[in-house]
Amino acid sequence: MFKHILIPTDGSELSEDAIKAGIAFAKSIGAKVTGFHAIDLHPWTFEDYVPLVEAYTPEQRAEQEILVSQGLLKSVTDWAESAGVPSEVRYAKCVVPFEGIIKAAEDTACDLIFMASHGRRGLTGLLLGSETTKVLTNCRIPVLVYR
Amino acid sequence: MYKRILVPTDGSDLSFAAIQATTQLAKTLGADIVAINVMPKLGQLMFPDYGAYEMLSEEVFEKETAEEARSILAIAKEEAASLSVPCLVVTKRDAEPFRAIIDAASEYKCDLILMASHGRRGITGLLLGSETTKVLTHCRIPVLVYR
Repeated sequence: MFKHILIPTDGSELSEDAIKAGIAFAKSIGAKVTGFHAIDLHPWTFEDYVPLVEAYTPEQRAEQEILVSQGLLKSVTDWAESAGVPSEVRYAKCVVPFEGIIKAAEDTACDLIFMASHGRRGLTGLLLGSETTKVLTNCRIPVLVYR
Repeated sequence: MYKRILVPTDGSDLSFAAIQATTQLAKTLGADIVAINVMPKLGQLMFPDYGAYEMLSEEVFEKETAEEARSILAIAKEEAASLSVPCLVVTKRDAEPFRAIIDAASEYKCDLILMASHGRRGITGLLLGSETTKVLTHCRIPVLVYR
């Protein structure tokens, strides 16, 4: 029923779990996956962007951002390959991640977004993560909130 | 991957669409379905459909809501039977539907909840329905928000 699943990742532990679960889910229903990373224009935590500290010019920074994205998305490619699920990856620079996620889903004609309940900024436990909430509120396709 | 899917239904159109989606997904996954209707309690703030609820005796109220639950769940049963997916129908009575939904998920060992983004109180369009939000916030298993 779902043919093409978008799996957004921000490199957090829970989103890594969501990648594995999303790919396993895609495999069980015969769907393909697209991994997506939203490059945050305003990185929140320093440690996650250590390479960017070394970037002194906008060009260097852009280069580093792409390297970070490619690094994060590699786990999608690797897991999909080992599961035998067709996959592709994409990244985009966005002011707010949820807009990038929704746009990526539209551009790739995905019919499901599979995302973790929390990302990097998340409070563990009871509440729902902020980007997840915004995706849920604003998008027009089904979203599987993974825990 | 998912073995038992809980699908809450309140009789709204979108919740019937969710039942159809659940049936198809369960068929693809080889999973079974637990369909639940949470009946309201007399005395809680009520839907317009129950405008005259103050006039009802508890007995009549419970009988009527149970009948309504039965007819709603009959549709779920029929839908599941059409694709020969095993389907268990359950009713609970709770003033807070989200609580009954989460309880049912653990009671019946469901590993996924598929629910419509809105129920019958819902503002169509942009926002997320209130019970859906509460289920998302409080439960510990994945939730597929269907649109």
